[in-house]
Amino acid sequence: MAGHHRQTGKGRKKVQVSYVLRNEVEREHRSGVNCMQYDPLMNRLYSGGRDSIVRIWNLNSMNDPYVLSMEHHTDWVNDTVLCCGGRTLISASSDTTVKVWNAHKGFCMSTLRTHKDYVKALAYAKDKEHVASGGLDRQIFLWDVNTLTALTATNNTVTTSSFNGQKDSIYSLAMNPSGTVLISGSTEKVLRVWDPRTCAKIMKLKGHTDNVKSVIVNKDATQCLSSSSDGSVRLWSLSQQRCIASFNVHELGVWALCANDSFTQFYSGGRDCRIFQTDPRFPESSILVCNTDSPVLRMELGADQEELWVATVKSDLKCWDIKESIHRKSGDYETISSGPLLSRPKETIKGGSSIRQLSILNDKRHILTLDSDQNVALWDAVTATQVKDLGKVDFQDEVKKRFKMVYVPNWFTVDLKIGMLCIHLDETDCFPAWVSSKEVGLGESDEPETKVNYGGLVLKALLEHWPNAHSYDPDSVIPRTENGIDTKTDDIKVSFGSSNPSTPPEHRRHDTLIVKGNRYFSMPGHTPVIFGEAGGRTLFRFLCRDAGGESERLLLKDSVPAWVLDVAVDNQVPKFNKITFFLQPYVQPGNKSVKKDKLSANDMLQIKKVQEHVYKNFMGQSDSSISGSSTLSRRSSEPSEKGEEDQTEIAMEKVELLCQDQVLEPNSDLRTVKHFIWKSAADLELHYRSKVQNGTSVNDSDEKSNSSWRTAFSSEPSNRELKIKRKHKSYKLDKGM
Amino acid sequence: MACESPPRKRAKLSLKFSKNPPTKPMRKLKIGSVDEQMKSDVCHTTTTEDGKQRSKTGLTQDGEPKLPLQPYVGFYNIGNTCYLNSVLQALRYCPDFVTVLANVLEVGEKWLNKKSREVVQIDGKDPANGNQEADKEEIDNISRILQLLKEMHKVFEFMRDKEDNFILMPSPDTDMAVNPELVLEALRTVNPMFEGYLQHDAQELLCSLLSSLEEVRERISKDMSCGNKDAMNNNICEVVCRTPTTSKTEGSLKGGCSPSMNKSQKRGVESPSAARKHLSYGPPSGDLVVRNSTVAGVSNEKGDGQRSKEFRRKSMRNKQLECEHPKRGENTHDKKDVLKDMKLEKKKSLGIKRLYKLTNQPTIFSKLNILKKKKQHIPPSSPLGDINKEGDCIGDVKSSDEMEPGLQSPSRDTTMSGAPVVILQHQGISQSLFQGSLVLRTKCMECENYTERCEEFQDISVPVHRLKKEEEDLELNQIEPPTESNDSCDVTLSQGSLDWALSEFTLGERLTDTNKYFCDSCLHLTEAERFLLFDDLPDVMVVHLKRFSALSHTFSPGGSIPKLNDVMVTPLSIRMERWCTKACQQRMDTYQLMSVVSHTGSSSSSGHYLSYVRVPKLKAVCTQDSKSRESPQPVDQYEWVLFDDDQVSALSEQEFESCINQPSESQELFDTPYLLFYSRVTTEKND
Repeated sequence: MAGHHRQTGKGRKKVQVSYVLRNEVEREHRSGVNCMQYDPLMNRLYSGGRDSIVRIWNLNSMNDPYVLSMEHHTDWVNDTVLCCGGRTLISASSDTTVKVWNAHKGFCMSTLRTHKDYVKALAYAKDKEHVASGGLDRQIFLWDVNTLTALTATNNTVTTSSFNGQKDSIYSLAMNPSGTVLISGSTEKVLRVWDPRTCAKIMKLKGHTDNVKSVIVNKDATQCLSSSSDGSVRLWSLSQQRCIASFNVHELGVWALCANDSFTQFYSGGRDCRIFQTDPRFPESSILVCNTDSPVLRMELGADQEELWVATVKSDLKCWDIKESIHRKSGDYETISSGPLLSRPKETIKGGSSIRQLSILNDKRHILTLDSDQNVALWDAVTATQVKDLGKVDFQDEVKKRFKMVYVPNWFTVDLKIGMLCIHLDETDCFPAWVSSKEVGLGESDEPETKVNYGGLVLKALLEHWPNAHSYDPDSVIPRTENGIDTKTDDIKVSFGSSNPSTPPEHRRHDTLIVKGNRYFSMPGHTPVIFGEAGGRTLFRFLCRDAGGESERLLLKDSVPAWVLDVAVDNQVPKFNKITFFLQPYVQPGNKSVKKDKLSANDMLQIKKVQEHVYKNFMGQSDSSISGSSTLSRRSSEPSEKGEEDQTEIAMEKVELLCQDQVLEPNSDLRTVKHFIWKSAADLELHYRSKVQNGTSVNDSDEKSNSSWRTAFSSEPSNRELKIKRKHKSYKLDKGM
Repeated sequence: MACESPPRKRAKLSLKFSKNPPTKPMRKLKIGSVDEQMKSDVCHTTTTEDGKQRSKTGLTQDGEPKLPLQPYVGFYNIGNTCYLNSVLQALRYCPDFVTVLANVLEVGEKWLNKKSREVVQIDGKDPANGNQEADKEEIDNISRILQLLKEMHKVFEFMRDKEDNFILMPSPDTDMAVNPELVLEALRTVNPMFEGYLQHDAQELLCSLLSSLEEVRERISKDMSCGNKDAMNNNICEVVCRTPTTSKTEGSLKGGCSPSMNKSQKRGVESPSAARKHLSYGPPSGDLVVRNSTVAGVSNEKGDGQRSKEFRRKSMRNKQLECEHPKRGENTHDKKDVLKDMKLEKKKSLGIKRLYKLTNQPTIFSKLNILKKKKQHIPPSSPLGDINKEGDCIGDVKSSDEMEPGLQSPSRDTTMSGAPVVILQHQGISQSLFQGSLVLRTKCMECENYTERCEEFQDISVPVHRLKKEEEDLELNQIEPPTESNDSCDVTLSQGSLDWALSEFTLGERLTDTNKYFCDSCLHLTEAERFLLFDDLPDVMVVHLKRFSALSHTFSPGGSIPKLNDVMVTPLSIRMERWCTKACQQRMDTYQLMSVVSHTGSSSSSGHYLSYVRVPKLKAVCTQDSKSRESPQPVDQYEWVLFDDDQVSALSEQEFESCINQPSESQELFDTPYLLFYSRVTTEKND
């Protein structure tokens, strides 16, 4: 899939513009849920998902638990901690930021951008209100939550402690409530223990043979538990600095750990979709609590520590009643029965579907998607909307069905990391997609055909509500039909050899006094717009409709990339793509043609226009001012529109173009021919020949080469020729009028 | 007699000793009774105790002058060709290499004939064929390679003859070395790199040889699989039928050199053994055919055996093979014939020995046993053990009802029943001794799913030294394969062991920072780790120690690449599980060091190549030959032979180990292992 290429190379970080195709309110998690926090005071659950949204659930009303979404992250939310007695939520995300939220109202108070890579883990020391964050950048920072919540626009400096010496990407962190130890688990396979007060290394605990995915520590920091991708859970004595027990009940990597306050029971879950309850004091005490339908990402103890909330790579959140299993205690040394203790969850918070697969259609505008529920949908990348929900149909069939032999260059990339379509526009390749407005159904049907650029239209639409992007143009009184839009797209420049001058036609468009966005469509107001570095570091996120807001206005001014400004504010028009090609008389395969004229034209030039060019320039028509002159690039501007059309028609009747010995469709364009028929990066080669057996219509210069086709078609009936002649006559009449 | 002589460290062939032809002790040994054998064993043990002293004096305990000459043929150095000499020696002692060589040669030549005929035909019919030139080029290339293989095979045969002759009639005047010139010439036509008489890298040569062999093999297999198999088989059948004649002519041309050996016989011997080997790779449907063919070969030989001594010796070899793998069918009459003919004792023993050396390495047969699911498996703990159980084996065969009597009768025809053999050979060339496969696994750190990419290898290039400037980087990025057992992970492997080197070889990279991995399951850029695992291990594993590193900071003036003389401890056997995929792990393959090509000197353009080769001791063969009931200690079964161009000396295992593994004070003279050849020993064998 076009959008799914791997990130490669280093170099200068370019700023991309991205937007998400989604519903205004996303009440359900779209993808896996990475983290949860339970608030016992409000009986609320906070869940941070891979869909970049932290949602608040009211567990008092399980019929409709959704409270609100906390949307500001742009990538997976990897970890959350609830602090300040449930008033503040801190979240860590793969967008490399840590955000501080007002947990009750759900708005983002501040964003910490110190990490350089995905922030994977947070740890919380309740007594001190300290939070540590660790990420794939091998950094750990320690934050004072009280300072973070007091940050304002003017007082926005935070001091942070950082821990040095970490050698590998951090995947897990743990801190005890009093904040006397901080433990980190990483791909280094060792646990590193630090003293957060002095930032000093205390010890390294070796034993795991793979990445350490989860760490928890008991209250007095005497023991800690760690789980690893190697499939084991290990209990460590921090005072003895060694591993005192290893629990090997899981078959695959153990990703989540969760223990009760007294550290007498812990739950472990992971890739093998099984959750075990174990008493750390008795290594043989593991009980299979339940099986889940997908790998376990996180567990959280709910009300009275008698409920276990489980989040998996699927979007559902499930609550298991563990009252019974707790009371089994460690005393029961019965062997684990074959089945799990619990067969079905007590509660389920339903999750939504995530898009798993996509196919960009050839028009480079519509995207077909397949989601985790096997639903197929059609989206419009240009207007950022869903066109149609096609239901449960075969995805591949639908892709085949919608194949059109049309070629439009790529102008965006798309990814599915948050389970929704996220379109990325990049400075270097966002503007090659020029299309005819009529053909793609933009604008009114009675409007003249206009060339529009997808990238340009989208950028304008995204910044539609930003006052800076509005333009005031006194010249806009000029009627639309004469506003300089170049409808005459059929100009062909002939250049010999390597010289290839490109002079894109200027065209500006001003409809009303205040020009907002593009004049064809608007984006849905809730569309999130993101400026970010190509690697995933987010610089700024806003909703399309909020661009006019006061703070957004200012922030936008600072963060809009220059290349976007050029188009959206300064109305600079992207350049047309030129395609160079050779136009030669058709010859039988095997014979080499004598002359090679290199031509250059707009890549969306239709074949019929080339036919017309051939007809007028090479086929020796009566219009003597044109024929025989191969250097002439512009056709005479005299003929009226009707005559022009007529001429095209005649040309279509008389001339046919071939590429790779295949007769070309007059309505296809050069880039389509190059892509689907020529199939090579080399310059396109087109051949022309007359459709009729008519010696007089052949230009002298082409006589030699044309003789071959003449003989080849000599047996053709002649009534066709008559018809053509008649047409030709009528054309002349027209012209005379 | 070689085995009688106290092992010496790098004893050189010298004319001084050749005045004392040690014919007598050798004869004694060969025809000797059990008691004598025992005695000689004792003698041997005592001599090894203070072997060092005696190696200097060159005298045995009883004052007798020791045997100066070793019954091993070396190569003359014809101008910096020690790289060639050492590699050829190592290859020669690879189990089955000579067999495979012969097979590929045979089938290859047939293929070539057919192809060139085709080309000629096409030439006549349609001169405008575009593919023709490419075809011709290909044929030229293959024929060049075949020429090289042919020369190699010829030289090996010649050397074997020479060794056999020497053992039969040890003569001090024997020229115990051959000239590798023809091989070198053929090599140069295949790979012009080896032109001139410059010093070359032994590993490059090895790669060149193996890839040439592979090229022929693949080209022919390709044709075989897509072309008409029957037609091909028939064609090759012709070859097989014709081969004896052609090789006889060759033999007579070289008659002066090999009076007692006829090449055709040798080939005849090799074919069945090859057949058996290749059986294990063939499709199950072909087994019956294969089995029949073997029977055909054996009984055929039996018939021949009554006609001439030569043939009897051959059949004896076959008998030996049968013993190794009783299922293959044993002809009791054959055995009786041989036993009756006591005059052939000498030759018989010789034959057995050679078989061990060249074709009868334990790996193939034990593997076959596994695959054939023997009903009554006799663990072939030692060759002797098998001989002792010969009777049982025969019984087993008879009871196992594996041979259909109906199929035996046509095979009694004196004409060669070549066709089934051909199928085997066809299968034979479709597998390679040296080729294994590696899996490059990329594992997402997030969801722990992985993707794999398979790669084939013919040798493994491992580092000998962690580069200092990379050290910090490595420390940050290095990961160990997760298959490593839990217990060993705390112990960081010390640099300078082969284990360390192999770990280093399989050690992957971590895809992090801006080079993240797009996980198809997470649909996200994630961190991932990448490492190598062995998916399929070859019969012969070649480990190349990267002693010549062209890194800038170690570059020396003059264009030669300096050598890393770091000590790398070479274990005599190695287990590969920890670097294997699950499927591969279950096979529990153990590898036994078989030969070593070592390099002495300080850079790529100077120094000298030697090869150490592990060979079964002649004595062990003699023991079983005399039908001794006593099981020899496995330790005594093998000895190491050092080939230093035309100079050959035998070493005990201990001597060999100290030779290659002990760091020497004078690094200059110390020869460091460069290419290690390990051959597969299955667990069953070890049990």
